[in-house]
Amino acid sequence: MSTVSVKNIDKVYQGKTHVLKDLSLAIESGEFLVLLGPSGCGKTTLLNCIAGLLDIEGGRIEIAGKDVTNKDPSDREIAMVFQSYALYPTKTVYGNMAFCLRMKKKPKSFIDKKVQETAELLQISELLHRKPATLSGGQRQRAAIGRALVRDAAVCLFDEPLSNLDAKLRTEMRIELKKLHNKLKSTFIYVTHDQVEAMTLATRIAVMDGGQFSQISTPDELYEHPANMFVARFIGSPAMNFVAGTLRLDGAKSILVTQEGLEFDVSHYPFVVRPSNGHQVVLGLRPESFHRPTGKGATYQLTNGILEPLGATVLYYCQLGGTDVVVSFNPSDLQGVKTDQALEVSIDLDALSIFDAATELRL
Amino acid sequence: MKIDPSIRSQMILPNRVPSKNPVSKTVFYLLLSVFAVLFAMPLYVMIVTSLKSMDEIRMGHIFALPITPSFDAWDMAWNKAASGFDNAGLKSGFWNSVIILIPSLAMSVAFSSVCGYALACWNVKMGNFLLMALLVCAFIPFQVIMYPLIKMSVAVKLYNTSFGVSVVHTVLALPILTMIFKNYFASIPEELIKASRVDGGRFWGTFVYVVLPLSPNIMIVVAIMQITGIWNDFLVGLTFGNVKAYPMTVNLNNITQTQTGVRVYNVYMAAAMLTAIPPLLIYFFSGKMFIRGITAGALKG
Repeated sequence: MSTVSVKNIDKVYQGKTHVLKDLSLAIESGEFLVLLGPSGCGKTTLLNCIAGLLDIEGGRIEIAGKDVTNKDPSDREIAMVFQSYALYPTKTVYGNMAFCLRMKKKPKSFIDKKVQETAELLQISELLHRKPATLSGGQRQRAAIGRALVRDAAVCLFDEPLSNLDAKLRTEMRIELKKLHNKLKSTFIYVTHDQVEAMTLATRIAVMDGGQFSQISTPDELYEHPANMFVARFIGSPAMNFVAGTLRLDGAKSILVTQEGLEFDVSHYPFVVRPSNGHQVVLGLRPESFHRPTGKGATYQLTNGILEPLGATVLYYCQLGGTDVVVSFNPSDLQGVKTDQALEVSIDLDALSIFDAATELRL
Repeated sequence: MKIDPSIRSQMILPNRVPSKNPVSKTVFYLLLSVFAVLFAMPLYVMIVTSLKSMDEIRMGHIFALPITPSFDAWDMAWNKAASGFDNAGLKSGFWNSVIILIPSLAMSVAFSSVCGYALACWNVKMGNFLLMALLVCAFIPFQVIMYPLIKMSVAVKLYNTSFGVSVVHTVLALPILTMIFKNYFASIPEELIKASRVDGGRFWGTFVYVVLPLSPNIMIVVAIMQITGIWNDFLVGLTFGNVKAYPMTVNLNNITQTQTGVRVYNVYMAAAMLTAIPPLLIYFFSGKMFIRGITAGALKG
């Protein structure tokens, strides 16, 4: 039982900056929850509140079923990995890892056993006697994770732990973190602004914007059915394309007409809210939902294209009607294509999203 | 302290002093030598005079080396000179100074480091107000509060005791030392404190196991300040001290201010040298105690 429950919490800095607004979140035992959002959205603040490093102005936090709202961080059964690693510079890796157990007055033999076990798990046994200053970035990262794991906490909190590593190391550590989570089955809460990290690691992602949750869902659900335009814009790289238009309801048929007069048949679109005729909407198209014409269904013209080959995929920066869009193709799809010509494509109408132009919410 | 090259490049300093130009090089070293000589002259005069006999001193060649150097005057100053209550030279004053120094050093460092730590690393209610108050207190001259302090020390029966002198030194040093410690501790990465709190090091655990190990340099700085300040103090020792156990500086003053008999300059010089030696030694050896790059490795590489 290592659930975390955040109920209606408010965080106000210095009585004026309202950073977290009435947030509620329930995290199941063994989940890998990622708090994702742009900088300044309050994700690190929320993590610090869960850790108890910041007091909250309202609401209630429960960890493993116990109310910890007013408890000290050390009484919350949490462990934390910091963005800067925050290793104690005067202690060895062993000393860093043993510190929390020493503070809990555990017997020496127990501490030794736990540290050795954890070091083995993270493959840092040979680094135990070294000081942080003599370690590389990746080794420090492992030591910091080791310090968090050694105490068998109910919940592990990660504050952008990979953002200081170079791209290659980041990918490696990401996979290791995922393996680690699969092995330990403890609850992880992980803060990042990197949507790739979030998509690859999370069992669930909570997207934050301006101190509120935009959507809390599985990575697939976030990608395929973003609840609003903020999430649609934030998740996916390259980002979702938006085309403004109007809905025309004609009996059983629903047609989305763009400003340039392009028509999309959205009769099969599972509307959450039944829209009215003439509703102003925004059509969201993933770069991957464009294909070379298959022979059936409507086709569209992409004009003024520029190719950007990335190896496995080719990005095609172009215009659909009068709107700039980015399309992702297989390199083989584009053989013999000249960029000065219009390119004919069909669009996967099952994968599109429709948002209300005024509220930016999914329809 | 040696300046780190990376910092040096940000400072508005010529990289090499002096330049390669031989004329400016000569002028540079000449000036430095002149200042060094000017500064060392009194020390030289003190040493040679203390090694001379009174007959030699009366000849008036104050810069001449002693003809027959002898440590008689030093022996006199240390063991026999009329220094105060027991007329047994400076040695009793030396030990009185030590007895005053040790508790005041320990108390001032202990209290001010904890205060500075609390103000820098923890969310103290009205912390900014307290800091302002300290700032104001740090600039109140001792002479202004001397009389009320005497009244207060009488009330708590600390007046006319060596420990009373220690307490007064501690109280007087607290504002400035607290500010020094606060500024130093504020430079410790905030995440280290957070990490320690998550790891279960509460207020004291974090202080003892995380903050103090990072602080030997500032401790040395403060210790040097306090040792020299307390050792060289005259006024607090004279006004609050035990008449029978005055510190060394008061004894030195008694020796040199004798109004009767011959003015034994060699003994005065030897006594002044003896009194000045402890702080001088501290200055000479303290430079080696600083540890460079103590927070290296705490944060990202």
